[in-house]
Amino acid sequence: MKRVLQILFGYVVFCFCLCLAAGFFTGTVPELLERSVRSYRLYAGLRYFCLILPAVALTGFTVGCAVSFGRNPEGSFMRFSPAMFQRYGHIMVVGLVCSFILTCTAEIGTPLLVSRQSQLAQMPKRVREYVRIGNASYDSGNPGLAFQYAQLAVKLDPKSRDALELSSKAELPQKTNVKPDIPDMVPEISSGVSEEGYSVSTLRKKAEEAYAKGNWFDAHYYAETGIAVASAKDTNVEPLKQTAAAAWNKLSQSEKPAETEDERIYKQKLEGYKTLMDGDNLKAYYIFRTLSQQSRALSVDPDVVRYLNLAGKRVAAESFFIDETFNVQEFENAGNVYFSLHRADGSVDVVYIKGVTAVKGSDGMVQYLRGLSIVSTDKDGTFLRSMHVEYAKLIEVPVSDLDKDTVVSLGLDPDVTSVPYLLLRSVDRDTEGVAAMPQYEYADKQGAADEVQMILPLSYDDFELLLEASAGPELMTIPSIFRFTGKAVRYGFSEEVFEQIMLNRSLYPLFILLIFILAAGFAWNYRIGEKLMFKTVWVAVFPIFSVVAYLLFKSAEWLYKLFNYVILGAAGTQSALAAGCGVYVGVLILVSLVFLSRNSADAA
Amino acid sequence: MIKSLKKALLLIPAYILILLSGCVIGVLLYMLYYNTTGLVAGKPLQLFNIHALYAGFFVIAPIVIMLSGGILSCYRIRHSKGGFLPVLMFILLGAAAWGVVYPSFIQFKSRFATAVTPEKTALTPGYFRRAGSTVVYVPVSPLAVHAVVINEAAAPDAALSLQKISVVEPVLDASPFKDILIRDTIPVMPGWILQGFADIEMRAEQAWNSGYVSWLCFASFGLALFSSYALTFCSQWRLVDVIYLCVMQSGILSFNLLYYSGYARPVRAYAEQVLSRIKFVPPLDEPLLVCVNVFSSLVFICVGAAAALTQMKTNRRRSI
Repeated sequence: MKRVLQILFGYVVFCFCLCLAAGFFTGTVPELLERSVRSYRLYAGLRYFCLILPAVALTGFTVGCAVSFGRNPEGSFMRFSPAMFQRYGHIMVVGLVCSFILTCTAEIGTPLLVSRQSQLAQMPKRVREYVRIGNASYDSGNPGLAFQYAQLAVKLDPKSRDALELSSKAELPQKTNVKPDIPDMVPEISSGVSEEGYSVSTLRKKAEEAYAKGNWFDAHYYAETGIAVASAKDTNVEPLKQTAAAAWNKLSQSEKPAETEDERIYKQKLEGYKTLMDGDNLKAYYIFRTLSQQSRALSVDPDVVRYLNLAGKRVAAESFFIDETFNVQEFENAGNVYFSLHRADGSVDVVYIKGVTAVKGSDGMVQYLRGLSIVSTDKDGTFLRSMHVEYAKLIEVPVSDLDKDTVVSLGLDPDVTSVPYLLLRSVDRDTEGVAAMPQYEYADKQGAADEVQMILPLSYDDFELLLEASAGPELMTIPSIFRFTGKAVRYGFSEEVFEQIMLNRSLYPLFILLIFILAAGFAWNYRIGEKLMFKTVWVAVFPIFSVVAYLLFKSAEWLYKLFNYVILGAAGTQSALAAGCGVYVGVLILVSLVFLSRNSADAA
Repeated sequence: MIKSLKKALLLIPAYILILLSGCVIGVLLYMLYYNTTGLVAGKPLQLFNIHALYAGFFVIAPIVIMLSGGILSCYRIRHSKGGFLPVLMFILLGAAAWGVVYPSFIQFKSRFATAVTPEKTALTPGYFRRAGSTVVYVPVSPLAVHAVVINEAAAPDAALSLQKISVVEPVLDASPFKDILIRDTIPVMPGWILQGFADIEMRAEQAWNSGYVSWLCFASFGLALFSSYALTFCSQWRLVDVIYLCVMQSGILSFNLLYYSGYARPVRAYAEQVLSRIKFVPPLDEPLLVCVNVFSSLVFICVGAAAALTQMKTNRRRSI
């Protein structure tokens, strides 16, 4: 055992050094930051090592076993001797450790190194992008944002002259020019209480208080909101109606031709308020936004601040601002995402998203979908409609916030708790009329309305799985593949393929263990003579053995993948994993018996 | 002497077992591979296929005969010693394989081999399949020529469209598999290996049909493969012997595979031109190949014999 570990460890360390040297002195590197070159080459060396590790470990293990068994072959004259059982115990321990390490290398090591290398290769591009955005922000009078981008760029590349320049020129103005924080506008969906979370009785109290203070806007707003959220039998409804009517009368009485500046502003506020109450949130938003930007006094006016905020929140629930999507393309976390959605009537929607950027908002994750296209066909494959939008904003919405009819029309499974909610219209933050709308085409336009919001009929978790699946099943985590396999067909992916890859990856440790037990049997058959002197020249043969081992390992891997299809075909997708486990454990027992049946009757 | 004779005689059943088990395992693997290449997403995998099994025998058997020398050598390394008789038996078995078994197989093949026509399986609808630089989704039936096509390289507003497509396109991309989805999960067996063995097999048939001299020329390949066994006398550690054997067998196989491939065509033409000037060479088929094979065999045998003699002398000296 000690000899096996010595040879195995020694050879692995030797190959590790060789791979690191190969990584540092061979191969070309892409455009990198100066300080990343060394790390990039180190990762390249480690990747070489991960690639050859199975063959190297097999070589070290086989040679180690062949030397160890050859030097101590005693006690194995008969088959299934106790000495052989003892050896089996040792090789099992080494095999399990090697299997664990090789599985970690394949599942964690290689993907991690690939991602690190890709991150390093992206860095120069990111620095350039941060500097570009920073400069653009500085030029548009936002030195605070410019400074933040400069800091990000300097963090990545402390020697970047452009980043340092931007940082120094943006530092001073950003300290003197602190803008009031604009609250994040996150859409909310009413759930029995008001948007602010007030109950009906609280709203009544607030409405009455505002009326008493002569704040007719607030009095009317709270009273109307209270009426909207109250149930028909609520005793607060009648007093709320009275307050609303009284406040509205007061508001209407003030309507007269605007003569002074205050009257003109009041008229505008009233118009904005009426528009908001009529449900034209976007128009109301622009009215209050214009008012807010007119003067410093108006920007802190309680009515303007309050109703701008409210309108903004409502707008955020039905569309998003164009400037939210500026610069997000560089930070996409998934690309070329496609899937199909089958509706209850047999029609199919094929969804394609060019790129997805996840951004952490104050209320969880928001995803910006670039180049969202949907083509719908009927059950016969005939074109129904298509939709394309440059950017869409996706947020997670709980199913409990949707009304029953919507849930039924979406045909959602009962276990779905949240769905992806798409905002398809993007508007300018300041200018009314500037909007990016989804483009629809219909086979038959009759009765069809262009939607600017959409709920995808799938669970939000499935959408996240589809984003993962877009990179290919090999890069998905095993739990994700496990969750996705049963649903793959529903979204246009092959269940067999995902199941086979799940088998390949889940049973890999068992496969490696099998190979190591086989190698131990081989090492016993071709062990060194008990009294034979070890010649130094034989060490030179080890690398050749590694090449042979590499080719044999790759062939075995190919067979392993082929057999997994057979297991899949024989056992079906439901029980393939259990059947696969059974088959490979059976083979492991067989191989173990072959090893245990070795004896030294025909020793050299 | 009896022990030596026993060891020599045991080689016969061992070799038969190698040939038989090699054929059985190889044919089964061929059938599995063949069935998997025919698998289409959404349809069940055919586990047993008698036609593939039958056709597989004619593909696998010559490969087994070619590789049997190496496997028998491994057996000899494992059960070494026994004096000259097992070596003689090894030579006889090699001669039998290339002088009787292989020609008999060629005759058998010419009488009974039939080509398998793969079943035409239509691609299933409802899956995303890559076709060249696009991804195709056929919503209803493979016969419907309208498919949703995703062109990842196109501008975002033109990336997704319903188009008329050629149904053949995704099928061609998947070759030798029927479904590209399945092909993406199994490394395709390198074409040059299969093609190389097919070329060698074709040459074997041509050589057998052209007469004994041609067959002898072709059999120089077998001679080189079997004579690499001689190198196993070079080392006293059996594991090192196996490595020597693997390297030499791979070398000979690769050289012969490469020689028959298109890459070596200019070299073959040049060699033929040069060797045609030498008087005794013209009657030989592929003179360069024969010369390389025979020369390597002679080197292996000489090196092996010298190593065996040195070892024998050392052992004698030790016993004195």
